[in-house]
Amino acid sequence: MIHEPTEEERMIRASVAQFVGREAAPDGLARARHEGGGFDRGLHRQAGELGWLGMLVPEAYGGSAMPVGICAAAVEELGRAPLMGPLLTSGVIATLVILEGGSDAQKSALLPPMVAGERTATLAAMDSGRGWGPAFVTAQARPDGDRIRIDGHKAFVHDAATADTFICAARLPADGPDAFSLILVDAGAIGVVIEPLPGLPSGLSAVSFDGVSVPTEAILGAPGAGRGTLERATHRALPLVCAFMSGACQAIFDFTVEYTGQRSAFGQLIGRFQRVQDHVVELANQMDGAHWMTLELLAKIEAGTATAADIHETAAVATEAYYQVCNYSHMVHAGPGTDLDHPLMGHTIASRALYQLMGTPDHHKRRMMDLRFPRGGAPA
Amino acid sequence: MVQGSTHETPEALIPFEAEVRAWLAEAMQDGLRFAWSAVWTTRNNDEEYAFRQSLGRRLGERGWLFPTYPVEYGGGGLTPEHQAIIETEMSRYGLRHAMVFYTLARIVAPCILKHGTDEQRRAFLPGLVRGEVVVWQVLTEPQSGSDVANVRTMAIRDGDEYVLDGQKIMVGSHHQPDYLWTLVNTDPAGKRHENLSWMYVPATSPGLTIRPMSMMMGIKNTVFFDGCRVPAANLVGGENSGWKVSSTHLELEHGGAGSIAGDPVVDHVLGRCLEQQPDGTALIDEEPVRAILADMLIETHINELLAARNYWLRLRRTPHPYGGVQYRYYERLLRLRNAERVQQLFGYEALVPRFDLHEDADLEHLVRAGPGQLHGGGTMDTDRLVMARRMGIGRSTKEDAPTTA
Repeated sequence: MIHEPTEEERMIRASVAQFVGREAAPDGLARARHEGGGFDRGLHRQAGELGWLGMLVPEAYGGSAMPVGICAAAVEELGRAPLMGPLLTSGVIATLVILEGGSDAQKSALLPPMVAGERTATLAAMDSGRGWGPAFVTAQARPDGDRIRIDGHKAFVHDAATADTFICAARLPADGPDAFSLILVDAGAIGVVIEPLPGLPSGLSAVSFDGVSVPTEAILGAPGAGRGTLERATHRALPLVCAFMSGACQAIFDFTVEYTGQRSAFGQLIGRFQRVQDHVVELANQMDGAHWMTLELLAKIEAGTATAADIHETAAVATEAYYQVCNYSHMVHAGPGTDLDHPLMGHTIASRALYQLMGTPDHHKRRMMDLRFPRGGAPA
Repeated sequence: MVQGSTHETPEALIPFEAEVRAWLAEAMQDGLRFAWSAVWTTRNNDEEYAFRQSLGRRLGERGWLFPTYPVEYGGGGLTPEHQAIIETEMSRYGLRHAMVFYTLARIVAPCILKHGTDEQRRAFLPGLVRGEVVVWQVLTEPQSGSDVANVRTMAIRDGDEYVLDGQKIMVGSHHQPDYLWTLVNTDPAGKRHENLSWMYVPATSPGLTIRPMSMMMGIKNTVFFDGCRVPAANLVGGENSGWKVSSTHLELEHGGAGSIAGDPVVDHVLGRCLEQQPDGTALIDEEPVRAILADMLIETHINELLAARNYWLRLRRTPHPYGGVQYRYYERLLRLRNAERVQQLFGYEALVPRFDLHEDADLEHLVRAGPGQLHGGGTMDTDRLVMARRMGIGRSTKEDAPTTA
């Protein structure tokens, strides 16, 4: 069955679209992100005032706890811009990690200012950039009197330079071989060294934790619970990231089709060339795969029937699609599409960063298979 | 929002679902021993086919072949939800509702319903809708495949009849038709696209000869029209106005009908990979097998979503602008990839047919059909051409998708 979007979905979509169009004209976005880290605290506070940073958060912590369909509609519009940065890494991912793993006191302390857009948090999970999962958490946390001392080097952290709080994954001596803990670290703490990284995706930093001392209450939830927390938060965040990427693909499709009717070469519009048409056809096939998979996943989440394998399957499709849709659009746009002021550039940069965030398409496919078909056992 | 290929029955229709299930349980008693042939079949099993044709008639008697069609034409007068239940229940037996037996009524009936006169609807629809007649679509000519408008079969008016001369190729199956639904040229001097007409031709018409051709996936046919006389009343959609009928026909043929059925070969492949082997292991425990299966399952899932999207949009008569042909294009390339994948997974076993299986689930049929299913009803290249037009690329106006019934 095909359902029409609800009135609420339409309203939130229009509101985000208007904001994104007014406050963050996509043309300038790529350059801003590329040159300045792309974070505008004023913009973030406005997003807080409009209530978007509280969409996932219960009222008790200052939010409005909207249904997933509404959240996805809003995030999809952010994807169209694309407006990534702390709106996604703090407003969605870190928010969900705190919600899934934090004690009541931690949620009460952290979430209201995050919902208001006054503070941001970011996840400093993996020490190596080569993958996503417990095997890549190697930072150590050791009891030190009534405090905890953290040593580790998180090679790639999103939006670290502007974050107020890190959620650092580290192994306590009592954590089992597959377990780790999540620890809240103030960005200003002694021993936290943030080194912004050059390269295509801006907003990435390496973050060192050199003997950082935090109180034991800084452990998010229970010691050793980090893996479960991160898994649950990831499974709530990925569908929204898929909506972001699906919205992004649709925006690219729209301006790519438009361009084929504007640009001439060899004496005619480039859209007349079947080779050019083919790029747009393949672009649309990737886009629609991501779009319908994401819609189905959201419907399953609302019906309470989505599995973790479904989430990884959709993430594999949408992540790959966003990457390829940018590629096909570049084939159509050629030179002008690589100008940092071109709307495509913001997408290309975002698609490369999102390719890594919370796992690559291959990672998601392996997780999907392992969940559905455990090795040497009956199918799940 | 698509709920996927699986369909949840609305509360109010649970009694209907039970009725269909009970009826099929009885009707399928004599059919359980058969391994079904595919639509484009390499097999010729007369006993199986006779069962399917009789099942088609029995479904037709109840209005269940065309559940949403008006009762006056033999339809069920039911809703798309009813139709989905019937299709889902039939698929439990490995049968496709759109083609219980070999007939293209699912394309021809909508064209007649939309473009025929009242008289033509009353005369032609009941036989198609009740499953009483077999109709072939007869379009391809030796010089025109994808370029379907390049028709040289002439139909010249002579009193109350048209006289047909020409040749069609690569049509039908090894089961004889009652009618041919064919595109003819009714104006030798007319402009392209303005010289075409559709005719519903009785297969018994004098001057009509059908001769089998051996093809990769089974029997197709050459049809010769030699001064073949057809009543003028059998021209549907108006003389020289055939191209607008074609848009309905082609949209349905080219994926616009959609589907809510799964692909049995994928279930078969997965089952084989999960089977325990004599040494206690299963293929699915091997890393390369998992990677191949992951892609096969994911791409099949996407294909099912595109198919289900088209299915529901068609029944709601709000066709997706380019989705019809997009689904066909995606499915064809997926089947070609899957054909290679079964060779990667099972080696030589994929090259030998198993006659105890549904032909749609058979690996050899998939391998055989891989390249052969790429072009039926137009090549992948025309698929992309149509998609581009429907997106409005390279032209001043965007071409709309026709509604179908």
